[in-house]
Amino acid sequence: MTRPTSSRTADTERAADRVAAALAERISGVFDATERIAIDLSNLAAAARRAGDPLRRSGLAPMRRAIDAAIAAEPRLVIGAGVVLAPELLADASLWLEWWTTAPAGPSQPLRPNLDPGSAWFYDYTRAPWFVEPRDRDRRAIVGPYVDIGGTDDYTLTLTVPVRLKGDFLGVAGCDLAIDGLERVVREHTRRLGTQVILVNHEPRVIASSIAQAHPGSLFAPAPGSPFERHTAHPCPRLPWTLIVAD
Amino acid sequence: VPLTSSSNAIRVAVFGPLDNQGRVDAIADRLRGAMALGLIANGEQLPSEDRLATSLGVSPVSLREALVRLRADGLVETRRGNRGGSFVVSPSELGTARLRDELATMTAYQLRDLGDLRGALAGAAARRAAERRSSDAVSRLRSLAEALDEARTAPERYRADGRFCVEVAAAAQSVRLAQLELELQITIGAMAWLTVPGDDVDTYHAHMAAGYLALVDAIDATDVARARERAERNTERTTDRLVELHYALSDRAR
Repeated sequence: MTRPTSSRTADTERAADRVAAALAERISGVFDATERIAIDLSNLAAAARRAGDPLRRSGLAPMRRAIDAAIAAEPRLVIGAGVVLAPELLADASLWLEWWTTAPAGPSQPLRPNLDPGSAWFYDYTRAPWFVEPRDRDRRAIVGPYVDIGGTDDYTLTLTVPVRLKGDFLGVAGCDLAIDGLERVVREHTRRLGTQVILVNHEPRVIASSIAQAHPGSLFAPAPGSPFERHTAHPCPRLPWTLIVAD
Repeated sequence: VPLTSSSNAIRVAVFGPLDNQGRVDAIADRLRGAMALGLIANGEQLPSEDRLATSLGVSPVSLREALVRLRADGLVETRRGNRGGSFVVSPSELGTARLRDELATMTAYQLRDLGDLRGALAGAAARRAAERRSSDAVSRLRSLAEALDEARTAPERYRADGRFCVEVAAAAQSVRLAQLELELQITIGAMAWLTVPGDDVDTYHAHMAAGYLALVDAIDATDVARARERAERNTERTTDRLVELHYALSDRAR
């Protein structure tokens, strides 16, 4: 945390830390629901291995319950959830996503992106950072905001966790977060602070902010004379996000 | 985006019917365009007629008629039975005859007008993509520009070109710019990859691939002004080519 350069009270500092922690807590709940999807996949893969049967697309149907539960737990925030499989894991599809997205009305819908490597619009998820990071570093990832061309085609953030079975990488389980929902959550938490705030990711790209000079999606770079020229940074625990508070 | 504008077009855009081309034409054109761009994959099953009509916001009767046309063009195949439905047959050509007719009947003025729109959109997207640079987006764009460079057939080149332009708008962090760019690509993107006798499409292709790589470099360098200028120059090159093709095609038709 940067030391405050003004006379602002330690109370505001502590309040900002609490808000950063509360945001992290909220996202942590989504990660927990994602871990439950991950456990489902590794259980299904373990059962298939015991039975000596290869895993198939149809065998993933029981995952729907955990996927819908992840969406239902945070209906304003989570707009899609599922698993994205390691190449050649399934016997009947070399690449596959068992991913469901919310619909304006009615039940969730399966996402069916173009998985034909020969196509110009191939959705090559094996190169997506939300797939690469859990695979190569065996850790959680939260990526975005970004426009998910060819996938949901929406402006979103994607959080993922690795799924492994006895060390073998099976794929990732994940959730897509609605940028609008996230902005509203951030506003609810930060309104009481009584000061200008910006939530940024590691780049640092603005996720949500309380001032018009820092638009969502832009890179955080306070102009001279901006209220953020002097600020304190409050990291969100366990997330690559930082709450920036104007002095 | 309608292909041509008529007198009073600005007022028509506000008060006129949502589509004056006729529903059936509009549906068939849109699906045909999406197939040519490769957005709907070869062998992909279209949603049921009812669902497709609902999502397009058209009557089932208009949709059925549009599908009849696409079937006649060999772009859609209908299979009966419980695993039946309408399936896409990806065109291996650009739908050349139809595009040629369309380009021949347009005017240089219309092409310039559309070119201005494309330039405004591409310039704005490139500028924001540079200002909001993301290293993931830069590496994606670079491999897409390289894919255009390596593309050999006209449909491959058109698809690589279209995807690159849409991804620049996505790199600008804007869903709306990406949607508009996609709409423009479906409407006129393919025409630039038509060829006429004696025309040197390979030089155009090499210029475009180099222009896109230069644009990626400008975005990578967060050089906002250069990114915009590069993007505008790329669309100007395309507009010039479209006008040249138009003259060649309309002269031959006469």
